[in-house]
Amino acid sequence: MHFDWFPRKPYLGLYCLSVIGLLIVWAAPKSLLAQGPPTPSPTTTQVTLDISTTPSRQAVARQEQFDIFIVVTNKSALEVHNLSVSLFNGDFSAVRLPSFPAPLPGFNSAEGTASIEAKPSAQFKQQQILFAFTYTWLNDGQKVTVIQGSAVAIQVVRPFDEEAKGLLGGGAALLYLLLPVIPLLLGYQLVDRWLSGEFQFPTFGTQYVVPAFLVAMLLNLVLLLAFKQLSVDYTEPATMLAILVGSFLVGIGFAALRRYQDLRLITFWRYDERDQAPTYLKKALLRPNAPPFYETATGTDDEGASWSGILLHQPAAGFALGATFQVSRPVGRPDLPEASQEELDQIFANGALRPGLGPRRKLIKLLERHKLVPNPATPIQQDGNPQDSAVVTGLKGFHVRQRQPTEIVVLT
Amino acid sequence: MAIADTVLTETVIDVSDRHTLADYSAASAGLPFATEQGYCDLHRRINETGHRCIDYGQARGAEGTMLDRLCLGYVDEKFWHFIVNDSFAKYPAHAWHRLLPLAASLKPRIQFVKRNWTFEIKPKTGVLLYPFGWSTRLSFLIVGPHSLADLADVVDCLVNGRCIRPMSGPTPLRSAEYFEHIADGVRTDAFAGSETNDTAGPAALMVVTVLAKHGPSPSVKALTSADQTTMLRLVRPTDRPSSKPFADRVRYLLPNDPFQYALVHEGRYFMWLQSRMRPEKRNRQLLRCHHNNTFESLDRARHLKALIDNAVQSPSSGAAESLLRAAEAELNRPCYKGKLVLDFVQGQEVKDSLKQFAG
Repeated sequence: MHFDWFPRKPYLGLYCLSVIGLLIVWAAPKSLLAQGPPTPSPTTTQVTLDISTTPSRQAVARQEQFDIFIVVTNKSALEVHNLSVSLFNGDFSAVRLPSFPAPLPGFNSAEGTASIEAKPSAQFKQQQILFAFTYTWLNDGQKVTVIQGSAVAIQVVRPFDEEAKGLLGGGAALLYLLLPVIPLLLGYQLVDRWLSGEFQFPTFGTQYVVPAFLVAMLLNLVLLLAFKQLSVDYTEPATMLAILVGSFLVGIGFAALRRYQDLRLITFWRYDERDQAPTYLKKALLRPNAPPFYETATGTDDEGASWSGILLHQPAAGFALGATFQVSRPVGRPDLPEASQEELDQIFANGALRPGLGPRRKLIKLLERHKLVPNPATPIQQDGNPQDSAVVTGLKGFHVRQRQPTEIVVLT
Repeated sequence: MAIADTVLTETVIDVSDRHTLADYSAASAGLPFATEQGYCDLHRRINETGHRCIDYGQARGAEGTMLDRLCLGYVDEKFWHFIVNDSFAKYPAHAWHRLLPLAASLKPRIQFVKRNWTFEIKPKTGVLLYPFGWSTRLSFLIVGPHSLADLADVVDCLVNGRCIRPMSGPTPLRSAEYFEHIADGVRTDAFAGSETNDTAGPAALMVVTVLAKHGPSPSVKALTSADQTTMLRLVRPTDRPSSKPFADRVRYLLPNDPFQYALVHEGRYFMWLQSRMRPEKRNRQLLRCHHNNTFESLDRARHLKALIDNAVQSPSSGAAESLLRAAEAELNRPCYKGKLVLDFVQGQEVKDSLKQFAG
């Protein structure tokens, strides 16, 4: 194809440009006219309602009821029939909706109050409540139904939101963060102190603020990831109770897991003054981390009483004192089996208990089977008076003055 | 615990009196006890025999009224090695300076008059002769199951009752009567008969040791009040209330060990040595040795003290200076260092005697 003919015919180019210009000029008024308001049909009568919806408050809490004041003004000459209002928002429910005069004459107004309640599951955020007003009017004898909307903005707020605003610098947020964490820490401390022998109500000291904040952040992050739509209402009694108890239990559980050994000792190996000799010996000899040797301790308690006995460690309670025992074959009881010499040789050497766990287990087994009979060797002494019980607990402020290696059980 | 659960199966009771010469002027009238030469020669003579014993008649030339055979009062054992540091064959040469005794058997045999006890009581008698006096010994071996209360009854019978019946006589005697009966014969046979001037100890020495048992041991720290009363009767067989607390009568033979102890009351001792009662190794032999050594040492120490006391009270008694010095030396440095012996020797009474003697 060759285009070299164009410069050679300049009159033809000018002609084309003129045609294009004419086309533009012709088309422009048409497009401008097309963008303007449509010309009303000469047969249509327009009814216009002016609707005003005003909430009684800007923010509400869950399950809190509030009012919307509604004013409807008919700005046309025609009557409006069947004027009604309905509510569109899943987080709110209408307690009571107003009823309007029927018909609403032209150039008249009507007013009413709608009572609305935020549902218990309403999300804590700025919400738009749409009121849909439905009405009808007659256009040349033909019934026309119109729906006209009016939105109201309502903030659903958490409880104590107003009060929290009095706190400085995001205090409310901090409180919300800490609420599930504080029972957790208290539960942890409670168990931890109990197992440490310092049973007292724990305190939330300043040293816990930073770790608590960190835990709170992590906890909330986890909850956010796990339940994206979760919006917890702490003031709802059941929710708050569940959170407090759950958090408390988690704290207890964590402390129990961390101090499992102590918990096991306190549960199964705690000395009791009602313990009989076999039970006491079992607890003393077979407890986890039982000492290889025992000592007789002499000392005084915080009341000045003098005590003497085998020094034992009572889980979570400091010291306990125990008696020493002799074990021997049962005499005069042919109905009871006797420990054989071989069995005794496996347990005792020169009358003293052999080292290791094996001999201890065998000894307890023989005691439980009544093949050996325990009898006191050296009872616990209080101010020089022998005590009947195999073990004494609850010594407060016991101060050890003297220790002496002692066999807790001997063969006689 | 209740000590009723403890069943003893073998117990030994040794009792001895003590007679110490107060006047040595007639010492040569009987056996050759007046001089070192005569005393050592008699030991040599006995030692040269196969059994280290001779009949009394061989030594004296006439039959004894009470003494049957004379033997060396010592054997080739560690206890005597502590006293004489020489070979055993040379012991007779040291008999005077080391206060070695002769042991005589007695002619009259005795029986223990039992009550309704099912256990057996085997008696044994003898006399230990020193140049300065003698001790009559009664030894009872109780065999068969018996309780501590039974044992206390036996002790009570020995101290207060008429339990010793000489084979020759129909009437049971009190132990004091028996001792006096023997003493009459010993005075006649070994010393100057009725001319013998001796003093007797105020109370007999008694050492009771349990050799074997079944069941639990009576822990001295865990006795009930009733148990303490029973145990106390082993050394204090009387119903009169005691003025001293029970704990004051306890001597621990091992520090603070409630199973190795002795109860002590006025020359009567009850020993419980749990560690030696276990039927293993040489325990039985060692326990018997411990009992014998304790009894021998206490009897000897009491005798030596009486020798010193008599010399202090009667400077003109004629006691040989060498005997007195030997007694003083041994009391100052006892050869057997058992706990009970040391308690006696280092006690105030002995200290006072030695002080008076030295002064």
